[in-house]
This record gives sequence, structure tokens and C-alpha cells, in this order.
Amino acid sequence: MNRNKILIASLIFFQFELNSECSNAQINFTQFQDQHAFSQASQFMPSLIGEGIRKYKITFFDFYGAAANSSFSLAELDKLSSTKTWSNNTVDSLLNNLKTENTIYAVVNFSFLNVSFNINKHKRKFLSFAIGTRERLDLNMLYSHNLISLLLKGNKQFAGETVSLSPLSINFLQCTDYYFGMKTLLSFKVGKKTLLKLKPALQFHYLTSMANVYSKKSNLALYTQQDGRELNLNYDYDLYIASPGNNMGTHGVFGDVTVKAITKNLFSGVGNGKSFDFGLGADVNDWIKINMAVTDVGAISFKNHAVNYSGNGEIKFDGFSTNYTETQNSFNSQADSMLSLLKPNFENAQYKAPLATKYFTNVSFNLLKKRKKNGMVYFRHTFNITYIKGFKNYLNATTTPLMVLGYNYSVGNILNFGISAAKGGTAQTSVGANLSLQFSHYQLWCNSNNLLPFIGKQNAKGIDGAVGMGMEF
Amino acid sequence: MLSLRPYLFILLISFCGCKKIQQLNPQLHPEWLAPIAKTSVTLETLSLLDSSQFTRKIPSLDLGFPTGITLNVPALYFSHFGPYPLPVSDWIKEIKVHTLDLTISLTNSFPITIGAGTIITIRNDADTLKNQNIISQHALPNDVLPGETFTFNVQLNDKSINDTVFFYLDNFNSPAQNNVTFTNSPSFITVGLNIIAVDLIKFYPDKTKSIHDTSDFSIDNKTNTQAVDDSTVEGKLVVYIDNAFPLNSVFQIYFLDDSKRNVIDSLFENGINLSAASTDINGSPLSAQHTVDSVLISVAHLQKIKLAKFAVTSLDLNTLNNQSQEVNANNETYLNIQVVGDLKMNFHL
Repeated sequence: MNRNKILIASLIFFQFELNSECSNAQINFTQFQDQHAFSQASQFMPSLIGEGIRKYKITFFDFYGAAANSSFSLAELDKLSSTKTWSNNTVDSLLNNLKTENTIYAVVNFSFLNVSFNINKHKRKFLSFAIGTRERLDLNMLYSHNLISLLLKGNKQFAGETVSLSPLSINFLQCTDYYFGMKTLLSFKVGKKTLLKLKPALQFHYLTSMANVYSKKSNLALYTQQDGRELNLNYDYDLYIASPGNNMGTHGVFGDVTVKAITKNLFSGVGNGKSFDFGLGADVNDWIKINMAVTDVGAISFKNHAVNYSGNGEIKFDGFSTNYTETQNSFNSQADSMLSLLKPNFENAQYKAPLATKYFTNVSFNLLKKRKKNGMVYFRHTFNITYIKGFKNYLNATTTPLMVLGYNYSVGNILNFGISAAKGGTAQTSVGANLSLQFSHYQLWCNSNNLLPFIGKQNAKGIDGAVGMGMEF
Repeated sequence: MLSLRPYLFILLISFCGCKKIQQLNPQLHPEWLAPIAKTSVTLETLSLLDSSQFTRKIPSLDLGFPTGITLNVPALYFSHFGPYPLPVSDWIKEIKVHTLDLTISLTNSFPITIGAGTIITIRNDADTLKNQNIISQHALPNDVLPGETFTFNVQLNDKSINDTVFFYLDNFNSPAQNNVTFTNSPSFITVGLNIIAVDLIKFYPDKTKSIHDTSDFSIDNKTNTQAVDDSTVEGKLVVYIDNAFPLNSVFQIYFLDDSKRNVIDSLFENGINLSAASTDINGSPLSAQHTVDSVLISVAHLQKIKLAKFAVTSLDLNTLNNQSQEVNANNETYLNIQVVGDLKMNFHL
């Protein structure tokens, strides 16, 4: 790889690293503890559909953005950026922060419209519905400690070894999400006494995507012979890219994207798919409520405008050849010839990009039940425990479990505010807060899972935040 | 329904990231252990002959006709017109080739026709009474008129070639022609020899031969100049050599400037001396000589090398101090050279 490519790759890498100083968790879990934001939280936790509202609620706007990395805190990045000359200690310190597998991600979730409403039976919520649309943008990159160590310290450290440079992958998904969710209430009684209320819920999503990058496979391994006489690079990758202008990679990664191509695919997208969220809520009693969900079970199919880039092989290198049968040999041409092996085979392809399936559990402990004149029930104190785990490190999911503890205080359900602290996930440590206000039918809310960049740079590996507004009736 | 807002958000955080990256000025010191160059010399890749193309002139006086005089030439016939000796190598006594591509051209600059049926014969010695010494024979299918050239290609197998070969035009015939004038321009035979595969070579003792191979070479372009601070490059080049040739060798790499005439520097101070391997009577190597040598990379050395545009790998071969009458090598012999870099570089991102 020539030096320009290394530089560009490094720039992209560090840019994401530095961007990630701005965030924390892929899912806005702080919304789980503020009932003003339940309509938004129900997008991930369908058993919350219809919760926190009397009849119906219209959300006009909700924006959530997040970015994080699994390796470097803001303080560490500040230190690196202020170190003009990197010594070996600096590099070692940087590498010590890296895990075997490292993640960088960015998420944007922008809701245009969400309507939730309840159908009551015997003055109790019997059926709840949610319908809406939102824009989703997920990006994650995975890279290995070994790869960065190789780039920064060279391959001598790996003499006599075969080292895996995997993972080295990027996944990106833009999609417009049209969803419809439904929840019902099942009460289990003994006589007149209700033992348990169960709230099974199902949410259906129709997704259209305008752009996708899906790294199905990305394996890379390097062998350095003990005395350096042979290098052996094994590669096996399988990458799919879809965009309106994709034309076999002849015009960059996303092809020749034109306004015409975008307009033509504006509503249909270049890929579409379906997904489901399965939820189950359980009100053990008024004070203990449990909600569980498995979300984003499904995939998006890309049938047109999709290209598959793949490569599988081995490059053995034992030096540029000087051949006495020719009077002139070009080292450059030999290098080009060798590197050409890495160039992908590409072909038009149809593929399915899976969604990032995740599992959630939220347990809330509610104290001091209050009822307003309009019939709205709320609790002054709410304590929350939330557990989130992805099924793989992909898009907005991570297999590193995330555990959240939160508390919310409600002042007459007019002013709600709370804090949360999380451990695990990509950003590993976070402290968040939520604030919401309701006057008349209007609701405003803002919250964040991770405010550490503002209060504790040492542990801040990400940042996120959400703002929204709606009307509740 | 696409919204620009999410993308604006990404642009915003990207911009923040770019501003941060401008503050970084990392200097890295990676240590790389990697092969750099290699060469493998075998009998096939070795430049065994002095040249791959030889030309022998045939003046008109050899036919008995002076130049510049108008003559009436009678019909001519020579059973063996020649010989024309052609030295092909001064260090090889005999080559037993497995496959040889031969290209022969006869250009008739005489004012008379060389008749069809004339045979171009190549022999290993000048004796025309023997058939065993014939390497190749080819008859002219048509007349070769004045000013014409006749060319043919042939592939030969399992032939021996001595250090000098002899050309004859056997059954030379030419019809009578009147009022012709021979000029100073001779007729000539051009022979192209391309050895494809060799079975055995017999070298003369006490001979030397130099072989050079020139390659493009450039480590100094604008990008690299910015990237590598060579003032802190340190390390060594390790050279691994396996010599299974019965030839003593001196290996060196020279770095040349743009003109290819001036040597800027050499890789090794004095070149690497390799002792000859011994071979049996059939030319098979009895043992290979393994040599490992290294050269430290100094700042001055590297700065000179960076100016080079061409690299010449030089191999000086000799059969000096060999007591036998001939030195045999068959196609199992080889010389492998590999250069490995063990370098620590100061690298700016």
C-alpha cells in the first residue's frame, strides 16, 4: 500500500475516532424511564406502545444522534492530539487502549411522525397502536488491535507468527422505516384480584433503503517468516454495496450517484425489506413493571443497483525479482502486479442485509403513585434497570452487554427529570440525564445517555443526545 | 423520503473530526522485516553466450571476384564454400542444449544469384568429411536474387555446441551472369541463438565472466520524501545466498543516475564473495554453498541511494583456481540470492 493510501486510511480512522469523542450507546435507553418519551421508546420496546398517554399522542419531531468508539476516551484523544511527536511510549499507550476487536459507530434516528393511540375497554387500555415513520442511519466499523499495531509498529514484532488482522469491516445502512405496532393487555385474575398483567406487542416495519454497505466477510492474516525471508498474506472478503448509482465500482464506492438516480428511487429505494419487533410487558403490580423486547428481526433485500466485491487468495512475497533473462525489470510493475491480486472481483448481485437484532429488558420500580385530574397516572419516583445486548457486532448492535441504572423524578407529570448510569456496550461507561416538560397538551423532551464528555473526559468514549416534541391527549 | 438532516449531522461531526486531525503530527517508528529483492540464476537464465545474435561477412573475394570491375561470371559450383568460423563464447568449452531456437538469415549482396539447393550448414568444427559435427543444415528452396534475404527458423533438440561454430554454404551454386560488378558490400549470414533449455555446460578453467541486469529503481518521489525522514532510518539488509554453481562469484548491486553511466553508490562496500560449489562429472552439484551477509544502512548511504534511478545487479563469475581441464554444470545447478530488509523507519503521518 502506498503512503497516500495509508494516510487516507489513517485520516478516516482517526476522524472517526475523534468524532466518537462526541458519544455512547446505540439505543436511546434513557427514554425508557421518562413517560413523556415512551412513544419514542416504543420504537425499540413495543410493549411501551400506548404507555404514558391517555388517548392518543402525536410526535412531530424526535431526533437522536450518537457516536462512540470502544477504545479511546476523550481525555486520551486530547492527549494524543496535543502530543506533537509520538514516542514509542505514545504508540504503546495507544495500542494498550485497543482491544482485540474494536468498534466505531455512529447512529442517527430521526422521527418525522409518530401517532400512538389507545382503545379502551371498561375504562382500561385494551389495545394500543403506534404508526409512524423515521429515518435511520447506522454506521459501524470494526478493526483489530493487530492491524493498528502492524501499521504503527511494523511487522517485525510478528516475526515467526501468523497474525490475524481481522476484523476489518465497515457496515452502513440508511433506511426509511414505516412502522405499525400493536399491543394488547391480558389480565390474569384470581377472583377479582389481578395477579399479573401481560402486554404482548408486535411491531412491523417496512423499510426502504437508499444506500447500504454490508461486509459479509472480511478475513485477513499475515505470516512473517522468522528471518523475514517470506511474507504471506491471506485474504478472504465479501462486501456488498448498494446505492442508486452503483455501476460496478467504476465511479467510486457508491457509483455515479446522480440527482436523476436518487429521484427515481426516492420512494422505492434501491432495497426494501421487512422486520419485526417482538415485545412483552408484565406489570407484576403497580410498582414493578417489566418490559422485554427483541427488535430488528429481519433484513433488507437489495435486488437492483447492488454490487458484490469479493476476493479470496494468498499473496506470497519473497522479494522483487531481478531476472537475468531481461535487461530491464520494473519493481513498480511487479508491485502493481502483486497488488492487483487484492483487487476485488465485482459483479452485480442480489443480497440480503440483515438488521442489527438486539435484546432488551427493562425493569422499573415505581413509587408514589399519583393520578391527575384528567385521569393520567404517574409515579413520582421511578427506578430503572435496563439490559441491552446485540446478537453480533454489527451496525447499532454490540455483543458487549450494556447494563443501565436510572432514576426519574416527576413533578406532577409536568416536569420529569432523571439521571442514568450505564456500564458496558461500546462506550463502556456513561452517565446520562433526561428532562421533559408538559404544558397543556404539548410535550417537549431532551435526553442523553452519555454526558461524560462534559463532566468526565477520562471515561468518555462517546456522546449522544435526543430532542423531541409532541402533543398528548 | 430522504431528509438532509441526518446527513448534515454526520457532516458536522466529520468536520469536528477533521479539525482535530489537523492538530496531529504523529511520528512513527515502525520496524519492518521483509524480503526486498531476489534473483535466481540457472543455466537457462545465465547469459551463456557472448551475444544472442552473430553476423559473419562473406566478401566477394572469397568467390574469387575482385570489387569494382565489370565481369562475366560463369556458372559456379562449390561443394563446401567456407568455412566461416563464428566464436559464440570464450568461457564455455561446450554446451549440450536440450532445446535451441535457431534463426538464420542469408543476405545476398552479390550481383549474382545464389541458387536454390545451396545448403547452409553449421558445424562444430571445420571438418567437412564428418557428419557428426553438423549442428544444422538447411537448403535454400528458391534462388536468392541479388539484394534479397532468405531467413529461416528452426528448433533443435539435444545438440552440442562448441565455443566456436563453423558455417558453410554447401552445394553452393550460381548461374552464369554477364557484365556484373561486385561492390565492397559483402554478403552476410546472421545467426540468432536462443537457448531454451540446457543439459550440460563445460566451462573452461581460469575464465571470468560478468553479467549485469539493470532495473528501474526509485525510492525518492515527493510523497515518500514527505513521509520518510531518512535521517533516522536505521537497520540492515541481510543477504542470503545459496550457490550451487561450480563458479566463484562476486555479487554486488550498483545504483546509477539518470544517465545510466554514473555509479552513485553500491549496496556493499566490496561485493559479496561466493565460493564455487563442487560438481560431479555429470555436472550435478555435490553441495551448495550457503552464505549470509549483512550490510548496515547508514544515513549517508541511504541518501545517496535515494538519488538513484536505476539499479544494476552485478554478478562476476569465474572458474579461477580450478585444477581440472573443464568445469561441468548441469541443469540442477543454481544460484539463489535474496535480500531481506530489517529496517526501523521514522515515519510522519
